Amino acid sequence: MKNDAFSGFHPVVNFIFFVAALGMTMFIQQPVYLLISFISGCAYLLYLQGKKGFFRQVGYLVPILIMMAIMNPVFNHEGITVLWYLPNDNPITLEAICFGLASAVMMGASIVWFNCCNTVFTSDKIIYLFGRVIPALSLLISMTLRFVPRFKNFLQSVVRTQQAMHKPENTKERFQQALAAFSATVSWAMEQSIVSADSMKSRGYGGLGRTAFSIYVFEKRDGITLVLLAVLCAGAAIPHLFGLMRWIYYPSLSGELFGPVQIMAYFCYGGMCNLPLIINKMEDRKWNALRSKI
Amino acid sequence: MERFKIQNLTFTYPEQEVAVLRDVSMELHPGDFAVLAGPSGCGKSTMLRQLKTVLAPHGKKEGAILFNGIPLEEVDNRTQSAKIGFVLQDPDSQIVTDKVWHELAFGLESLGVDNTAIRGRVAEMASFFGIQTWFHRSVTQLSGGQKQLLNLASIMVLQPDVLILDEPTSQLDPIAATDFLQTLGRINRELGTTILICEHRLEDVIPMASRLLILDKGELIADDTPVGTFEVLRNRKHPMLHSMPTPMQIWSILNWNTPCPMTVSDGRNQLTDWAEEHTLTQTPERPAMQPENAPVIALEEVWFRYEKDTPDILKSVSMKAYPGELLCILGGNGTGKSTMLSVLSGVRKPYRGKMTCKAKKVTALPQNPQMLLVKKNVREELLSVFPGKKLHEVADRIGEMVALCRLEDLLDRHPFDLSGGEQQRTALTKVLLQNPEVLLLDEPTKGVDNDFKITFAQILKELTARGVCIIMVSHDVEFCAQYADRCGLFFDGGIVTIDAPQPFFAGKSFYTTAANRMARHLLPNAVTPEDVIVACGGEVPKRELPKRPDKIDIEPPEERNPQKLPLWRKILGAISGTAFFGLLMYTSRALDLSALYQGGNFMGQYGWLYVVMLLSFGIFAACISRKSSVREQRMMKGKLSTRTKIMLLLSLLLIPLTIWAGLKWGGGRKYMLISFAIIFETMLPFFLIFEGRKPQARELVILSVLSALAIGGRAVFFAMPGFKPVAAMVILTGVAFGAEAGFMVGAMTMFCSNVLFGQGPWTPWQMFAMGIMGLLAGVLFRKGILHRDRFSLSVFGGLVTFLIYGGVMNPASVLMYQANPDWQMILTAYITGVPADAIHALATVMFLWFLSEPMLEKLDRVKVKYGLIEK
Repeated sequence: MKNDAFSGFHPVVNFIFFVAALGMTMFIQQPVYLLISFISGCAYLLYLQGKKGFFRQVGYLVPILIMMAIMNPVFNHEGITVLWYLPNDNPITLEAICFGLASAVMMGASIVWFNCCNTVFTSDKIIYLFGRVIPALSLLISMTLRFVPRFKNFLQSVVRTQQAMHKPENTKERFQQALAAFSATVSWAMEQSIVSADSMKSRGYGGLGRTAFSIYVFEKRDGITLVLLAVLCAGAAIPHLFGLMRWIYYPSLSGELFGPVQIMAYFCYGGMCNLPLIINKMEDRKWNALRSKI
Repeated sequence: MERFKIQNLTFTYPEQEVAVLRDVSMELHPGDFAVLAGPSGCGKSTMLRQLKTVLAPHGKKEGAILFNGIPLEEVDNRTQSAKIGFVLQDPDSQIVTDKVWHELAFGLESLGVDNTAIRGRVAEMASFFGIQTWFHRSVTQLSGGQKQLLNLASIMVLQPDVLILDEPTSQLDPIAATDFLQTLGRINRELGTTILICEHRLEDVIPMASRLLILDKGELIADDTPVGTFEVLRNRKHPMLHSMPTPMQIWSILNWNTPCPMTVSDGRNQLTDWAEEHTLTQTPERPAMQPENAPVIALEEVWFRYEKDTPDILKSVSMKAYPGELLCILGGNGTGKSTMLSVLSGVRKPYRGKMTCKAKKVTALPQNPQMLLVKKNVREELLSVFPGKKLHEVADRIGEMVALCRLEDLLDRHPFDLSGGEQQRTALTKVLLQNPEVLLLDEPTKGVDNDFKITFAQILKELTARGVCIIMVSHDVEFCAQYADRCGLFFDGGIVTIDAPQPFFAGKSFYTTAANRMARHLLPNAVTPEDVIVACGGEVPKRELPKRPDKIDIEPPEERNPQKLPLWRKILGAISGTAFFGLLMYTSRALDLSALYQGGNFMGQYGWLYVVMLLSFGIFAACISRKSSVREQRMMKGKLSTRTKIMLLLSLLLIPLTIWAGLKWGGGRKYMLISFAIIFETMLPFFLIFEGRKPQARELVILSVLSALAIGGRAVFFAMPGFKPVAAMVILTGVAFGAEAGFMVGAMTMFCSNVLFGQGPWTPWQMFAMGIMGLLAGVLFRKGILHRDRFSLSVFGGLVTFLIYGGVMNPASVLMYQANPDWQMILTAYITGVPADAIHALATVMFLWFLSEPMLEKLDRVKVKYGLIEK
């Protein structure tokens, strides 16, 4: 993974950005918006994961999306522009094809954004954000995340130990061995849990007025970014709220795509979706400038 | 004033007659470094735990404990948390959070210290301990030694007056242990913190200690400076003498008139002085064992690495091991010793080189014996080695091994109630019952006290006498010097030297015993304390173990007789079962899928048949499920708590409201909006109420452990896609810990597994579906509808997985991605989802069938033993 400058911003900034990007992708059906979101999401994921990681994470999507785009016109016969008829006399319409494509792009974009979010918005940021509002639950998450790799290691070594004693010869034996290993892990984990609870109590857990420590500091640049994000969001969302971005698929494709207001809104939306990339580019340039001075 | 003053403390565990601690009185002064020692089971841990109220075990207590002059019971919890630091034995289970920085701050957070102050204190302690380089890491990336240092540091940030440590180094390798103890010494010297430590690595702590206390059978028999205490032990001829540092042992047996030497260099100087006036007899060379037979297992230039792109772990290892020998392999951490054992055991295959093995059976005893302990008592544990065999067929064999490993008094105990050494022997017995010709041991003496080592060595000796070849990987230089037939040094992926103990250790300067380091300038061949003593003309006192019987009679374990089903239920069950399967076959054939796409009524005239089918299934399930036993019924008595009722009611009220609002204002994506909102509304009350009642530590731990087990459990079944124990675990949680716990574990499991495997719009739906399954299990169990036997649970599990999980997730996929979902789409989603749902349901059924009984037993044990959640 590349050193992503946006990840270094305060978790609140990260969180609001992803809520905005995902929310607008999922709730606004305007085709240009969807395209902007899809392309920016892909570009950011490509930046974060590199080519290899990108295709590994979203490669499986391509066939699903194509399927979605094809399935809609096959089953949905709304719309007035009939292109041709299926053998069972059902019509294939242009509107249904467009709608299928839009749905596919919407799904693709939201999944790509979720992938970006998983890379940037790590578990400690989740715990930090929730730690204030729901401290017990966020501790629960933190502890679960701590125990998972530990139990997995134990489980795998139990399996190895069992294999050293007796190599399973068929699926039935393999399943039985896996069950026995799981059972042993449960016993062990239960006993361990008591020590963990003791260790928590011993350090004063359960007293009143627990605070939530974090290593994150809200800097000036976080504030500036947040304001910028809010402005761009408003620029993209307000026209939608006023119905200016209205786009209808059925019965016929209608709505204004490229009026002056719409183009303004596209710029705002594009700016918002590409904010992390812009920040990264600015950071890169700063570094290059610094280096050339030396 | 004394930090701690203990006056005539007597303590008895519940339902026991003999007191664990008897009339113990002691004082701990500021700046003391006190070491508490004693044979295993003498009450050391019990005594340490008395010094902090939250850790003190239940039982009858007499006498007084004063902390800074105030009775401990009157010192509030907050002060105790901050001022009395406690480090426990296992480095891993003490760590609660997943990041180093968070763990360091945990205690201060609990005390309600503000962010700025925490930052300062954490920074300071991280620097003192040299943690800053791994401050941002996940705790999983740390080594055992680092973990224990982190535990120490996360207590030191609270700035305690007293630090109490219960065998903190028993799970560490020697280098990490020395490092840890050095840090402890520094804390004592530089920060003036009072330390009370219980430790069996006396060689390292005694030179630092200002006081040494000996506890024996619950009585404090000595409390003095180390030298003073040693005098007491010597006068009493106490067995603890053998655990003392080698120079002290040699000094005491030879009766030198010099001050007692506590370190190797003191001992070395005194020996030099003594040798100037006396003559030493050179230690005779012990004849090395001559192998009579061909090697039973051998490696020839073996290379191994885990992945194609990772570095080699084993680099041209060659070794031979003969029948009837104890071969010890020493070497540092991470050099590949354990990997070599796994190659020898056949689990890993070398990519170059040859392994020859003539043994019929090679078995390995894992480093952590708990990996082999599954059952509820030792007897069943041993019987489980022979699945499907009757007791009388195997009783002789088990009896013989029980006698060999001296388990006769432990047969009815729960394996996890045993001490480390006893668990070790139980696991060893299990391994030996497989009749191995080659036995592989991975650090068997780690964390085990001296008495256990002697017993253990005796067992090994008897095994080698029978011709078993034992290969043991160890850090324990003293043990290997004393008992090995040959020793090898492992370094950088290969065995560097291999020789009989005497020549092996005589040539080393670091990897050698304390006795050799003390005497090697005069007696190059002396390796054990006995060698030095004999060379100086002293006499070694003999220690003999009590004789053991040849065989123990094994009694059969208690049989559980399940209640017989009455005849009418059997008959009714058979009829309804047949009806169900018949209808299932019929309807699945008659189902016209193509009608679905034409918009027709695909269920057609068969609709009513489905109703009959489900009904007959219900009757079938009700007929053959058994009532739970009396004890279980008492546990499940009681009604639904008002809390649960309010939650259910609230969510029911909010949902129609949301739908109405969503339809009115939702706009283009109203379906998704509404469904999202509903999901959140149903889950929110659970979370808020959980949050509102401030769950205690044990509840949090149990819930997170169960969630983590459900997620981690996937790892073992990775070969079987779709087979996940998640649903089964959630259902069992609901049954064992109640509806609310079931919901929390269900929802948290899905949330955290998505943190690890990737969040998506599906997260809330998955949380909701799993949560409801747990909730339902809990509610139905409480109501007495769902029984605690594996049949009812499996049936229930299969049904809810198919109907609820599938029922939520299939329409969810439509609602998530379709702007104008209609019933047809949802139906299509259901139909296409059937195969996946069926596999999921089948997996849940299988898990519950095989796991529900042992698992509920285990959960009950935790509940009963520690009084967790909803008493």
